[in-house]
Amino acid sequence: MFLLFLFLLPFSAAWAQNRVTLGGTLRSAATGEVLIGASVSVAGTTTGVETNTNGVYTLPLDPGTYQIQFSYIGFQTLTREVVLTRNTRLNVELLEEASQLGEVVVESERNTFQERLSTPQMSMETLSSREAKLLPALFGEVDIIKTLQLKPGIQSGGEGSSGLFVRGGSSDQNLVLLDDALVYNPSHLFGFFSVFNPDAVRGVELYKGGFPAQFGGRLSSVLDVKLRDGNRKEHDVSGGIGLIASRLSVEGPIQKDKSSFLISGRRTYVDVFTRLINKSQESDPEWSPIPDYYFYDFNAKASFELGPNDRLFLSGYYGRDFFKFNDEDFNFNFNWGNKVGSARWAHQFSSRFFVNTTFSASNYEYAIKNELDIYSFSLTSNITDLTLKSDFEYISSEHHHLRFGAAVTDHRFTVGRLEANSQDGTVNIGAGNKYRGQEYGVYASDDWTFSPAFTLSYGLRLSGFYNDGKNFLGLEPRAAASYRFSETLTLKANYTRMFQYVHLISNSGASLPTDIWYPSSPGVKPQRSDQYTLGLTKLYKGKYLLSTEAYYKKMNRQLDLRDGAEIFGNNELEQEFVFGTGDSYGQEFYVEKKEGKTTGWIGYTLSWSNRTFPDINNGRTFPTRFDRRHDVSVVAIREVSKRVNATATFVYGTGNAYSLPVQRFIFQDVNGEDFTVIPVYPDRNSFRLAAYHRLDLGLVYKLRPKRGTSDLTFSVYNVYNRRNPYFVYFETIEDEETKQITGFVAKQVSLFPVIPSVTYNFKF
Amino acid sequence: MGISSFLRQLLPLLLLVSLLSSCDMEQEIEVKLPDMPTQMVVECYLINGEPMKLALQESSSYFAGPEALLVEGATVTITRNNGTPVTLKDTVLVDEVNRKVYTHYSPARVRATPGDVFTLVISDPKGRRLTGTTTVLPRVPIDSVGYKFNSKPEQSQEAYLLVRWQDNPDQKNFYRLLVHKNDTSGIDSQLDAEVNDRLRNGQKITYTTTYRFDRNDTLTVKLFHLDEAYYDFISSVEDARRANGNPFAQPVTIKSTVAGGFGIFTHLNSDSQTVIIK
Repeated sequence: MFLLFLFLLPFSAAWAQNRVTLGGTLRSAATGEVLIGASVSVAGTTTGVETNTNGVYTLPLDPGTYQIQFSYIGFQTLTREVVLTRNTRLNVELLEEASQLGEVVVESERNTFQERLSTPQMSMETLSSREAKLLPALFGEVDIIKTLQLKPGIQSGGEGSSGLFVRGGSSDQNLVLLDDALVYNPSHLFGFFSVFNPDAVRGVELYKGGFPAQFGGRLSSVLDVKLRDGNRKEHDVSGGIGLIASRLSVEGPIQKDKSSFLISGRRTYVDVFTRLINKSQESDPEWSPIPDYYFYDFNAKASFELGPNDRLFLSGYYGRDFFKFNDEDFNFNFNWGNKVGSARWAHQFSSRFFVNTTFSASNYEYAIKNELDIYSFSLTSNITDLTLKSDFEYISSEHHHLRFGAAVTDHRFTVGRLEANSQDGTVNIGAGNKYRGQEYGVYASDDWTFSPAFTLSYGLRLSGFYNDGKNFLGLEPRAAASYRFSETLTLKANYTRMFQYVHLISNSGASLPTDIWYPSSPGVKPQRSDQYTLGLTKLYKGKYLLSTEAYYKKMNRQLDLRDGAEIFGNNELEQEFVFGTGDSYGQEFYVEKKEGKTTGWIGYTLSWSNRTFPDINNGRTFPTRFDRRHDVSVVAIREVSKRVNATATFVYGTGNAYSLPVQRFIFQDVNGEDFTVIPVYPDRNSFRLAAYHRLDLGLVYKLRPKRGTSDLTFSVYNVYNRRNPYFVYFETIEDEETKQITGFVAKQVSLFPVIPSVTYNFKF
Repeated sequence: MGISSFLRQLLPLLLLVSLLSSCDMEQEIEVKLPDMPTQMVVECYLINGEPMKLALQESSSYFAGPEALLVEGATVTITRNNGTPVTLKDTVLVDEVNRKVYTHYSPARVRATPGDVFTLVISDPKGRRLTGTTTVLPRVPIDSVGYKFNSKPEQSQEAYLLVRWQDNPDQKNFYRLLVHKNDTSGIDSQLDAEVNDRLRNGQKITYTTTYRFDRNDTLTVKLFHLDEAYYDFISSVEDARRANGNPFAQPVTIKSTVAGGFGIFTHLNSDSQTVIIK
């Protein structure tokens, strides 16, 4: 592996003697937080770089005098004259723009677009919390994942869902990282909300393909979520009160300009209302009580400047969903959630050589407890990971940007731990298995600027997994090339191979909290994917970024369950698995405008996603439930005045593929007391639900409080009250008196009608 | 177990959202179903000492008329251990007590001992052929049946039911437990549970219900010892029925115990006990 690195060294030796480096850190002047992905460029040229995850930039230049431009979305662009005679460190603080998306950010958008044209990186979407906050989703809750679903190639699982289905992949094929720590289940309430609190999150990067070599372990996407560091200059309290949830954050310096903290929490309160409804109906014997449901989550982060070249970041997440049903006799408790923590040490050897070392822990578990008199039943599953990784970054010259590193993870799985007991000892059943596996990877990559027009990014990742005496190895080449035909047109191509060593076992079409993570083992080989992408990026009239990408992805060793599989309390779970292949392909189109009073984007995806399993559907290829032929999203943001921003979002998608019975027969059973109608299903997912479309409107109105800032966010979900299908079923119609069956009808169930909501947000 | 009751309780929560507006979130739609050839469906339970009888019908397109389609002119035979085939005559019989309908009948009574193999062959003038075999299993006796009241005031007290039996450790075993309330209206089903010994091989198996029985209920408890094929069939039928209307379910293929159509052909053996909740 490191031969590759050695191979690259001659290039770094070519480091020109007379070149010097301008480097430093970019921060927000208001909060002292570092700015990631900010642009640093020589004014009037295409020479420029972006700041890395520590907000650090490195710009190699010939000695001389330069006008250096620093810009970042939402901040005033700063131009500084720099006289370079030797390596120079220049730390810069940028002032925030009063208006979030005003004219003044034009320059930074231009630079962002230029960056998109010059980098070989493709298939990547970025979104800041700031942008997401303008686009409230269901119940007025801002959700960065749901906003990401508005980008091409990223599909939701359906109404309200924050499950991600990236380029035809499954929902377990996403590597979700929160400050470098893995998050196993990124949703609350079956995907209606994501676990990422918008007040704590700085932004996300989502890779749909073109995966950099430092990422591995999942087939279809990398979702890299970063928390904010907290204000290093002063204390802030911010929060919001919404229709179904409230949130509160506190942040501030631990030691001014040196260290900071951020603590953020939120909780839903639908349960308060459902309890009231239940109480008011107590006297009605027919009333079946609505179960309790709520979730809460906390984020915490602390960052410390240990010295000029060392920084330490501590980051944590804890969240739980609760679902309870209790009456005098019957007691049902279900809870699930993630615990995630990471400690990252960022060290700078020089202005060109950095290392990030991260130790992280992640746990996901669910527990169901059920009690009746002296009998108790419990079912739990969990996965716990400990990960240590080091990522090095070395900018050897303006032509070579090297990255290399290694990671190792210890996974512990408890799969379907079932216990049933009675106090008198007559019942005592236990089942479930524990597994342990070690996953590891080493990688090296180089971004090679061959000429101003031609850039090549190539790398190799060697990954592996050890479990139960079996060691799997995977060689994952990554290659990307871009050729810039002109100032405004770039052609890009990419190939990546990925391996996935842990698998999500789901006995439902949707993602449920009871899905189980399972390791690769002698009987379960790792999943593998190969993805090919070709794309064009064009800057039109200086303010519209047009891009299109065509992709083909082949997935091997896909895992599913045989019909009627029992996954709970089954000690021989592997016998229920079936293996197959998947392929997906399509083309994405994207137009974005970030300049002017009206900004936004339009995305369109034409795609296919299929699976083939010898043991499912009689071996015939079938479309996945989320196979979506056409997918359109339109997002428009209009700055009406300094105090008012209006937004509109429209989505359209081909209906989900769905299984419906085509025939039926009457089943009398042994007793024959009531005939039942048994449905006969044809090929899997052979029907289409009606198309999904919806318009949401939003309005952010800034108030003028005496202290701090505040706003009212109004939103209307599903403005024209479209009945989007959630599922379809066939109903048997009976004569009320005779109970005779008189016919059958198809019924479509929808979840969310038009929902207006208002949220009050504050910061002081 | 826990999961299915969880999902059942989840739905009202999801639909609660629709309380936010008075709109009806459920609407009738039109679905165009493809034409597929219909298939023969058989239900035949052999019971010791009773005449051989079965119900034969045709599957129908989902939105066709509600009446069951009969198979015209089918030849039906049942053979015990390579003996002489018994032909069942095409006769519609209605069992008023159990509210069952049979289409084929032979006065020959079933005489079976554990290990006997029965074979069913049905052919019809369209050239279709449906076959099935079943092996007779020994009866498994119920050890004990008990009940216990909850702590509510005496007038509104309810009891749970508890049934125990011994599992045979030498083989995989499958059971079905049916409980009926005997009342004037005939049979009133209270419980239908499929149980296997995967986690309790060789142990005394205890099955408990929720609190659901009232004082003075007279309950008949029947324990059937099933073969794996019947267990799979009854589970798949139950899963398919539930999948229709559950957004989280995958479609289910009916696992028939017969080839050439849908349905069940099995020998039924059961032990039963009656208990009065006092």
